[in-house]
Amino acid sequence: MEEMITFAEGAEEAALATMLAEIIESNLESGGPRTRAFQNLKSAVYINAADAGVEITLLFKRGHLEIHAGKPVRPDISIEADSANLLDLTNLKIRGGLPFFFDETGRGVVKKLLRGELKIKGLLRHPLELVRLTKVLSVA
Amino acid sequence: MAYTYGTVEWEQGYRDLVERRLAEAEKPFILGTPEWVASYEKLVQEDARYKEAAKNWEGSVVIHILAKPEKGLDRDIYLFMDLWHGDCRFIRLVPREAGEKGDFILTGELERWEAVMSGELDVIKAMIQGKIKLKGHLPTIVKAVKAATRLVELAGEIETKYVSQLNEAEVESLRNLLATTGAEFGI
Repeated sequence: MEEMITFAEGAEEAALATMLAEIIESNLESGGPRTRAFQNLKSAVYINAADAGVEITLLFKRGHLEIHAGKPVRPDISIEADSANLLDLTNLKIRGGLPFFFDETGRGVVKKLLRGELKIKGLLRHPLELVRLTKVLSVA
Repeated sequence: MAYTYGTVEWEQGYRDLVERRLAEAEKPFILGTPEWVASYEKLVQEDARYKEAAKNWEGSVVIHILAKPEKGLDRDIYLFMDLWHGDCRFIRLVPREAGEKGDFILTGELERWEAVMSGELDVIKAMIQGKIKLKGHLPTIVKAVKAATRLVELAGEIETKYVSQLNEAEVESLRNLLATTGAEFGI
């Protein structure tokens, strides 16, 4: 069976890459809406943990994810934040198929977006893809 | 006398050792010594913020500090935290075999842990950079990131003498302590 998540050369050396792969893998094992979101997601997502000096790109290809170190392609969605703020995204709850912004974590994410502590590019151009990405990454 | 971990004798012997060290050791305590660990345990057990953040937490967490023989740390240290729904049942040094059985094991070089505990290095950042490695179910620990962060913050609140700051005599003294606790308790 073809692996759903693969690493491009050198990507596995970035701990962030293996961490996100583990989170996504675990979500896929649980099935349901997260798996459906993964099957539909087709985007290049660039993630930059600025304080840690770590950058990776997640290439989602409808049911397959390829993880690259750095920014090998022009991303559809870019996320830039400090390490701790980045993890907040994975703690967003999903309610009614959408990210839930009305609990403490959700409000925290909104505040960080407004303050510029969490920067997401592509938010307006690819809202559906961002919702899918949030589902795929959410551990909450 | 060598005690076997998991026995009543080991427990009693370890408690006696901690009491003796708390009374005799000079402050600030050296990171990772039984007296430092006992101070840390007390702090976690009494911390309301930790209790709130960890109210859904289940499982043991082990801080695994890799050996640094040139600084007197002749073997790895396993600091075992038995944590359950906001309660800290105990924090103690344990033998390697017990430490390796923890639900979540965070492993790093001495310098990394010192940087994390002194607040110079954020623990999440350290994990993202691969400076601290996690063995265990990552999504579970990510979900409890606030509790994990608070645990680390508390370690930073203890007045600590870091192993990297020890002079030659202190290095020798730490080496002797580890030799004794290793022979008696396997820690």
